[in-house]
Amino acid sequence: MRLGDFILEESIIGELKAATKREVLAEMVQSIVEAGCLEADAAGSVVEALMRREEIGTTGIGHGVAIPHAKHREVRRLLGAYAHSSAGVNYDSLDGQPVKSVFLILWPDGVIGPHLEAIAQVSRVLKSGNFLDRLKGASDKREIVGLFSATDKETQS
Amino acid sequence: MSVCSVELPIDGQAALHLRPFQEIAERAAQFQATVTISRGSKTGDAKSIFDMMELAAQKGPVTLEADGVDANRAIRTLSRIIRKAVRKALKEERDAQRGRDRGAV
Repeated sequence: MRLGDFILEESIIGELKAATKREVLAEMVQSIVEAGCLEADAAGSVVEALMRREEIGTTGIGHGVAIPHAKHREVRRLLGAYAHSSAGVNYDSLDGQPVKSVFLILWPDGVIGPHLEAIAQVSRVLKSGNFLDRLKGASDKREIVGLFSATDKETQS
Repeated sequence: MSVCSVELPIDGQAALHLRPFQEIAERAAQFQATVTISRGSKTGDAKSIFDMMELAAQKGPVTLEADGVDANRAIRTLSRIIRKAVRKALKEERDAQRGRDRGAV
């Protein structure tokens, strides 16, 4: 699986306006609505599902990265969004560091597993060379798309 | 120094999720021993959350190997976390299957 298989290009945000975890999730879910992949009236409920997952344990895994994820009945297929924050967002991360790179993953309720492939690919690219440093410094959408595309090619096994 | 390893047979195709990987990485970091986890075609450093996440989509038995003064304790602790996570994953699979059988999307 490649990042390009689930991250919607329309849902790549170069610079988040959000300043809190909930606002980050809402802004990213809204980008999926605007990409035409989620009904607008489902957005609030999807954000709540993501927040419920955060309450079980933060998805701020450290190193400035968060991978919020949730299943939802209104989601029709594996979907992803990416957002960057230059200032960093307080995300209750495992290492206490602000989050600059957020990979959001959604998948249909009743389906086990598709997000695990997505998470595995995210971890593969994050480990790849200096990709994470470059990603955390990238606030231009075209630059981020280019980084995803290049690293997808490098990490395909 | 001591070296210790264990293979945990896992029923079905149970996948390990992000939550147990976070717990494994946090707990593994508390031991002096180096600890590696292998599943399917992947092997990773149990103290690295990125390595652990890369195992997310792998199937089959999990092998834990530890090398260091507290290797035995590390293996016991991490085995317990993995067994608990597998039980939970299998329950989620069964619940999801029941949902599909009822015609849920």
